[in-house]
Parts: sequence; structure tokens; C-alpha cells
Amino acid sequence: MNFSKVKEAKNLHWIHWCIITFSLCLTLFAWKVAKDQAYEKIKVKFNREADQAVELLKERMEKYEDALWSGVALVKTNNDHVDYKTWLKFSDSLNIDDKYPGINGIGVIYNVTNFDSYLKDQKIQRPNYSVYPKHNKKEKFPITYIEPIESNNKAVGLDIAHEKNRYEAAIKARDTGTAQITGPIVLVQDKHKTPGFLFYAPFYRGEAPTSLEKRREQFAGMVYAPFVVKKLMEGTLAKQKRHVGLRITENTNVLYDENNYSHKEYDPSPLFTTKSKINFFGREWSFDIRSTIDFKKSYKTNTPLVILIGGIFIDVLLFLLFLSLTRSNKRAYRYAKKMHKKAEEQRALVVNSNKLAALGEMAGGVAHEINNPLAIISVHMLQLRTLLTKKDTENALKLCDNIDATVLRISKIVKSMRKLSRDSSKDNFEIFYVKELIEDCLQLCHEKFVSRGIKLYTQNIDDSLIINCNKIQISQVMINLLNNAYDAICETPDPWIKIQAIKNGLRAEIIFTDSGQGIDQDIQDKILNPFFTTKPLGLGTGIGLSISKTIIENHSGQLILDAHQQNTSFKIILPRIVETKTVGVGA
Amino acid sequence: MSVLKVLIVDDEKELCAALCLQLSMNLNIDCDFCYSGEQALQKLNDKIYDVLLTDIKMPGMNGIELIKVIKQETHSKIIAYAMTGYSEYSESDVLSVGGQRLFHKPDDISEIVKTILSMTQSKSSALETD
Repeated sequence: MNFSKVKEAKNLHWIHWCIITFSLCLTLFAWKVAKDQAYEKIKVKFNREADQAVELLKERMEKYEDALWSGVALVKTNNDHVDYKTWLKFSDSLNIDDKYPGINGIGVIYNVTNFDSYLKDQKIQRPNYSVYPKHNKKEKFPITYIEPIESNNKAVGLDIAHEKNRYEAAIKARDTGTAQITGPIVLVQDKHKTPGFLFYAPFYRGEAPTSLEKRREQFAGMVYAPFVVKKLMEGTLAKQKRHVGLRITENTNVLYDENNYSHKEYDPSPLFTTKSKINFFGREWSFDIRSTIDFKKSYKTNTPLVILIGGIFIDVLLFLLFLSLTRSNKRAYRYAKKMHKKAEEQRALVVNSNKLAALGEMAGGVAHEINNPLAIISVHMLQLRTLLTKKDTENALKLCDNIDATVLRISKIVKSMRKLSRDSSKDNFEIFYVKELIEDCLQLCHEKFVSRGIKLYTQNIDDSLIINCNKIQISQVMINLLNNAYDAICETPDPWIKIQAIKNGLRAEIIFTDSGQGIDQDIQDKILNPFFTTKPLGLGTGIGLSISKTIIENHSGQLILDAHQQNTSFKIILPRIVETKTVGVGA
Repeated sequence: MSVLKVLIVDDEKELCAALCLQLSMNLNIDCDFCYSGEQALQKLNDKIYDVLLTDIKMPGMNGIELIKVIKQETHSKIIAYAMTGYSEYSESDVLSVGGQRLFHKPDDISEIVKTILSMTQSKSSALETD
């Protein structure tokens, strides 16, 4: 693996940022969707509650209207006139408190055309009965009965024609024959002087009138119910079930208002508000409905917030995870760098020691190679002494020539050794003939191989083959291959080693084949790995081939085991120099 | 006077020749030489030698094997010396196969010549006493 290609992680990678941003966007999106959904959900709830409140009020009013029409029916069954006792019975039977909560009472108003006769009649049963106040209108609509009397005492005898709102609604009820309510008024019987209204249902003498004129003519009076709006609302709408506040206005007059600080559930910043106008028995009431604090409490959901916080929490975790990964990567990179440096140092040491080991292996051969000529010299010296004693100068000189030749032979061996034993790692590449490289190696190895009966052949050595290389390193590789071959075949019958150097396109191939029967299939892949050895324990380090491979790769070449050959064959492939004219061949 | 018959075996031809020439200066020595173990066995078959001086490291049969063959298979009374420039064998290996001594090249060259020369004297005196 080429370590220089491995980069140190600086900070978070852009992919990390993308993932975090995407996750953050997803969180925000989920939060927004959840929030919108929750909003829609509670909006539906609010609308339903708002509608319910108005519908309930409408429903109640219709029920009250029915009560009024039942009063009208009573009057009609009593020949358009009802006496006090009958009315008392009727009102008791209505059971107002239970069945019509919110209504203040139910009563009868007569259309008095002959005031004196009317007053006389009333005073028979109720001597204290009087009509008030006096006014200028020709119509007189005095409240004749109102039950229960206890809470409505002040209203008995009140002529409702004296006041505009009461009067106009009464006229409208008379003219239309329909139930009508008055504009906002303050009931005389209401001690708190809060807004209220009257609810009228007209009745007529004789047959039901079919035209306005007949209605005016036959108009006998009205059954009516007074309302205090506050009481009505309390009776109608069980407040504890609602989560909305109401404000009812007619024009600018406020009939009822829960939307202010006097109500403890008032929410100054409501989640929802809605406004509607409803025609209510001749009056147009505006409803301003707002959600209350209770609404917020009941329906406010934490889900979107939980999603948001949860999402952000996960994003933070993700960020921390990436940060931790990046830091681990940094640490791992630094550790790997340190280890790589160490390994490089170790490798340098190993290369050196391997070189020494190779030299050690050669030492035997070299010693043999040197000691033999030395022995020859030694014998010649003995002869020389004898000749000198005999003063045979002529033969003595001949012997000296022999000694010179033998010394030269030793000198050559020593030179080859010196070439290979020095540190070559700082050497620059130079251009060499492949043939010369091979010859130099053989000079050193020849004796070792021949002495063990190993035949060395050189075959197809291309004289013109030139490569750019570190001579010593390439020689080391060749000696390593030769030594391996030596170890493998020295004990086998008829051992031989063949060296070839050929051109193959732009490449030079140096092939070492020995008489061995190839490398086993199952170890072919491992043979170039460091510390892999087939030699007996103590005889091989398993680093020779791996270092050789590294050296050749540093020369932009390849060291391969040629598995296609019948015999064991290693091939050094190196780029060859093509332009011969620039070659300045090194020594 | 009897002649000491010496056979020198070494693949280093020049050394064989020089050593043989040096020993032959003594008239009591009859010296032959050859370049391999196989050749040596052939010569031993043809002629009886008193002394064998063989190199150890040689192509084919090495010196130790040669001594072993001569001593253990033919039960020869020949005095066998080994010499070496450098080898993995020690003197005890030489003694164990029936050899007399191991000489080292080049240090022991004079010693070899001296040893063989001294044997000519001991052989002649032994014969005289007979």
C-alpha cells in the first residue's frame, strides 16, 4: 500500500456536513409538519366548540320560544284571556328553574285598549296592582303577570310601551305575529343592572289574523320572558365544558362579555378567534369567540416540540459522532504514520542485514575463491625460495609472473565484493548494460555454484540491452535470486541455473530459471510477501524476495514468478533505455 | 630406498601442478595429481599410493566423501590428508571418516610440504629397520 496516498482527515468531511444539514432540515420539516397538523387539529376543535356554543344558545332560545308559544296556547284556550291563578298554575307547571335555566320568568302583557276597565279588573284580584310609568304613546302594554313573582316583583305593572327598545320589539311582534326579542335593556328587577332583554310571543283575539291590519286590530297581548343575559349564558352554557370565551354584542351594545380580564380564563393572546353574526328573533347578534387559557392547556400538544428537541439532540449526537470519528481517524492516521516511519526504518535495517546475510552466504565461496590462489602463491613462494637458493634466476622470474597473475585474480574478487558491500541507498540511477550487471554478479557467485556442481548457463544475453538503475541494488536482487536457486537445488541431482536477458518491447527482461520443479500452486501468491519462507528454520528470513520486489518496483519494474514454466523461473522486468545515442554507459 | 607415492586431488589445477612440482623436487617422492574425486578413485584402482592429499570442496564428490569411500569401502591403509580454502567441514569430520589431518589453505601450505617430506624419512628408516 502506498502510504503517501492516504490523507489525514483535517476536520469534518463535506459529506458529514451534508448529512448533518440534511438531518437538521428533516428535523425542521418534521417539526413544521407536526406543528401544522397539531394546529389544524386544535383549530378544528376550536371551530367545533365555537359552533357548539352558538348552536346551544340558539337551541335554548328555541326552547324558550316554545315555552312562550305554550303560554300563548293557554291564553287562546281560555278565550283570549287568562286570569292570575291560571297563569300561576301554568308557570308552576313549566318548572322554570329546572327545565328553563337562564330564563328569569314567564309573564303576560296585555294590549290594553280600555285602561280603566283593565285596571279595575286587575284590582279585584290584586288590589295593589298599578301600572307605571306614564307615557305619551297611545298603546299601553302593561306587564300583567310575571312568575315567579319573587324575583320579578318590580316588573309587575310596568308598561313596556314607555321605553323605546321594549316598545319597538312589541310592535314588531304584533305586526309580524312572530316571536321577537328586544334590543339591550336593563331589567327593572335586575339589581346588578346588567344587560338583558325581553322575549315576546304575540297572541290575537279570535281567528288567527292573516294580514297586518288584522293583526293590529286583533292584537290582544303577548306572553313574554325577561332575560338577564349573564344568567342566560350561565344557565345555557355550562362553562366548565367550554374552552372558548364569548362576547355578544348588538350594534355597539355589549350584551355579554367573557373576553376581558374579569374572567379568569381570559387569554389575552388567544390561539384562535372567530366572529359571526346571527339573526336572533329579529335582532342581529355578533358573536366574538376566542379560545381561553384553558383551551391552550387542554389542547396544546408538546409533540412538535419533542420532535424538534429530539431531532436537534440527534443532530448534536451525529455531529459529536462525526467529530469523534474524525478525531479517531486523525489519531489512527498519526499512529499509522508513526508506524509507517518505524516500518520504513525497520525495512532499511532489514535490507542492510539481508545484504549482510547474502554476503555471509557468499563469504564461503569468496573465501574459497581467494584462499585457493593464495595457496598457489604460497606454493610458488616455496618454489621461489628453492630456485633462489639454486640461483636459478630465469625460472624464479617466471614464477614471479605466475604469482602476479594469481594476485590479479584475487584482486578482481575483492573489487567485486567491495562493489556490493557498500551502502547503495543514496546512489543515483545510472545507465548500465544488463550484460555487464550479470557478469559482475557471476564473478562473485561463480565459485560457490561451480564448487557444488551447479552448472551456470547464460543464454540469449542481449548485448545491447541497457537499463537505468541503481547498479548495486539490482545486483543484490540478482544475487538474492541466485542464492535462492542455490538453496533450492544444491541437493538435487544434476542441478543447473540458466540466466537470460532479452528485449520485450520497451522492457528488458532478466530471467532466472533453475532445475527446480516450480513453486507449489498454493504458495505462489505468498512467495513475494515479507517473512514468507520455505527454507528450514534459521536458514531463511523470508525477506529476500519481498525486498527484491520492493527494489524492482522502485525501479518502475516488476518481479514476478513465471508460473507457466516447467522449471522454477523468476523474471525481473525493467523499462529499458531505447535511445542508444544518449547512453553514457557507467562503469 | 623406497619412494613415497603421493596423490594430490584438487579442482584448482594450478595449485595441483605447483604443489606436485614442489614435492617432486625430493627424489624420494613420486607425486601424481588429478582434479576430482572420481578421477582419484580411478587412479587408486590403478596404483597403490602411500599418501592422499585431497581438497574438500570440489565439483561432484567432495574430499570427505572420497576419504570415506577409500577408507571404509576399500579398507586401504593409505594415509589421507584433507585441505580446504573454506568449507563447512572441520578436522573432526576428517578424522571421523578415517582421515589423518585437515590443512587450511593458504596458511598450512608449508606445513603440508614439511609433513609429506618428513614422511619420506620415517618411511626409509622404517624400511631400514625391517
